[in-house]
Amino acid sequence: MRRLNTLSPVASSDPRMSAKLNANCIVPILVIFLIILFLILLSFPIRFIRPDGLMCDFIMVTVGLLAVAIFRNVVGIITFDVLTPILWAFIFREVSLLVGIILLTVIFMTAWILRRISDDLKLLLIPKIALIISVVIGLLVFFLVSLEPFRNGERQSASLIFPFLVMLLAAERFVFLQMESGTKTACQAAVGTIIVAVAIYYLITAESSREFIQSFPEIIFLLIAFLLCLGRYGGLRVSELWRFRHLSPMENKK
Amino acid sequence: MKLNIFRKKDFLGINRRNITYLLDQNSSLSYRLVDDKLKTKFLLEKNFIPTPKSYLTIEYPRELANLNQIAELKEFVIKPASSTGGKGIRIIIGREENKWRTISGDVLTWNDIRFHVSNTLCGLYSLGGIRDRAFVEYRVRTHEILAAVMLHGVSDIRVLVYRGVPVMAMLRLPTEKSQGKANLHQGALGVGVDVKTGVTSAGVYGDRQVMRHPDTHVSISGVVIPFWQEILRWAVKTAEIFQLNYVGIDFVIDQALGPLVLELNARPGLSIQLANRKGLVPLLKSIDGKFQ
Repeated sequence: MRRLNTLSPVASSDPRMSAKLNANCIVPILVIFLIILFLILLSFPIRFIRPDGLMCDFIMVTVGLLAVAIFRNVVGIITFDVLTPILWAFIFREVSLLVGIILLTVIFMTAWILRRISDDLKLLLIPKIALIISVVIGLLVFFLVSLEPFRNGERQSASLIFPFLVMLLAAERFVFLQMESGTKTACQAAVGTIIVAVAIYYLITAESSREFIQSFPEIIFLLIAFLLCLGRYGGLRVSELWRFRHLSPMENKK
Repeated sequence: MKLNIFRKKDFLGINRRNITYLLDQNSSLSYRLVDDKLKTKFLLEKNFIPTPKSYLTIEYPRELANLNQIAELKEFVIKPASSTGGKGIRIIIGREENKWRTISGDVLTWNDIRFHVSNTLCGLYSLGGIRDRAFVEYRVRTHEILAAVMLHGVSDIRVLVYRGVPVMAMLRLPTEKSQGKANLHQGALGVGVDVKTGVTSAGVYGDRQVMRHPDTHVSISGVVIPFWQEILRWAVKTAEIFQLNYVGIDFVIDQALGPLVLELNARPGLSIQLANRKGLVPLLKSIDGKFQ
């Protein structure tokens, strides 16, 4: 067979061949080294200012991103986008874990039922999504208004707009995914996102991790370096070990 | 069957596939050709590779009126240009008065068809919901030998070509569950095919390993796929034209026209290993060895 000349041959990144230190592994090592150098230089100004809550939360987002990358590429859990589990984790912190999960489930179920109903109306795609979300909002408003007499006059609507917007965004993702790839995938992604979000929730609310980040905010550079390594991780995912469980490597021998 | 979870070095996972075989081997320019079925079709036709004939392309909503041109046809397939996993494909197999019957047994009116096409144009079935095109093409009738095994629908043959060498092949048979589609994620049956001879071995259905078709209960092993050498030849030629080093090429075998290239997949799935019950890594390594 003739080789496809137009593409340059690239050295294999087989772990067994990495002893040769080919170009594939020199580059990440060099970059990690540079990042560590950066880390040392940049850590000086940070050392003098103790980061406050907001800065802490920002670094927590990076921790969350790393967690999402590990969950998706090493464990193999499907989630909605990359940032969604982190947003949900922050919402769980705002409204407590149980309330958050119940609210998300209710919103998803409502969106699902509405989609089933609106399928018969034969609407165009974007108006349909807008309609579904509007009806979800209507129900939410109705629910909040009916709760009003029991809340002793204290109003905190302004602080609740962010969590609700994020949940509506989740409803949109859910409905889109359901129409694109089916109910099963959408539910898998929803459950996967909740699992990852709960893990991140425990990570960001733990007192020890907060204290650690306040003491060592430079950890963000280490996280970036770790993400770089994860970007070239070529091993099997945990979900794939399960998927290939019935096949033994012996059958491959001639 | 032995449960052997931790010794899986031979099996190619998504991470290794993406890093070593997609990012390092395939050029990103070719993806744009392959992700758009109309561009693929154009390039295939230009190079005289057999592919189902396309009757009509619809790009803008105002062109929906052009659909009337195919109103007299009894059999046709409507496809989005850039959908993945067989989404948004409607296979029409018959017409009675003003109703069109699809392969999964639904009856569509002309309005249903128009609505489906306009949804496609809005990007319901494309990656990321961007605008899309729809086209109408020749409906393939599956060759008798393969049709004898399954109920209805279109079976296709996926040939995985790595650096110009056919590595593994899989026959995908539609089932009741997959509604006539040959996509493993939608519940189709994948059957391992010996690359040298074109003889099927055993299959994978969902999570289970099977020896018979789940609906017809006909044995799926030992089927000799017709035109096998021709399929391999077209597969290698197609991979060369599209300049892809790691690509899955989907063939259908028509009763009248023989093997046709249906589409290309630049990110072929990994269940071909399940259907063939062996890992890809040693095979790909041995091909790499030939080039060093």
